[in-house]
Amino acid sequence: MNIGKYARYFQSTKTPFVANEIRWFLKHGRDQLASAGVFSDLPEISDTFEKVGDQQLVALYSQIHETLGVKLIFPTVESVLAGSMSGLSAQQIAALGMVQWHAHLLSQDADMMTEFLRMTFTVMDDNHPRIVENHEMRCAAYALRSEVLLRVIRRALELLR
Amino acid sequence: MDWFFYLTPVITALVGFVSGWGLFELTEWRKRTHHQQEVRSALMAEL
Repeated sequence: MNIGKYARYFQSTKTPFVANEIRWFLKHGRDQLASAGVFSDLPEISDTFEKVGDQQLVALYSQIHETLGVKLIFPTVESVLAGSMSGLSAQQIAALGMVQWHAHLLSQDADMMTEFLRMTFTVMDDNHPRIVENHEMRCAAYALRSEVLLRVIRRALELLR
Repeated sequence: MDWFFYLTPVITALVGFVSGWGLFELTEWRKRTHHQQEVRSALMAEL
């Protein structure tokens, strides 16, 4: 979902990628909710979003102005890395370690976003624009880190299959 | 035939020990692989 929520931070060359991620999230999110028995009467939205063009979809999501980042936790990854009987290969363990590392970097960006957002309410005068700019930079960093984390997770999944 | 008299219990004990050990290892291996399979599924679901 991070890719969709921070769509406005991605360059126009990445429009097809962002659009695909939004579609994937909508479909996957709906399926997950349905399989868990939550909101089982959700309408089939994926077909509607399939018909909307990439540009239009990304433009729609670019209107979202997210100011706070979400920290992602991976309790199973953490316990597998801490345990000695996971039965995973060195390559798989390395991939999971990378997932955890990038999730950690993402949470650092999230922390900085929170900090700079808080400062926008307290720091005034000449420094205010600087704080706003820093917050914006952190939002962009968070968006880019989300993409990296997504790729790292997909690579780990490939290795686990 | 005296050697047979003395060796039989030793061989029986050895065979018993080896098969018991093998059975224990097999059970442990099955439990371990089952657990690893569960962990793998949980991991993939989380990711």
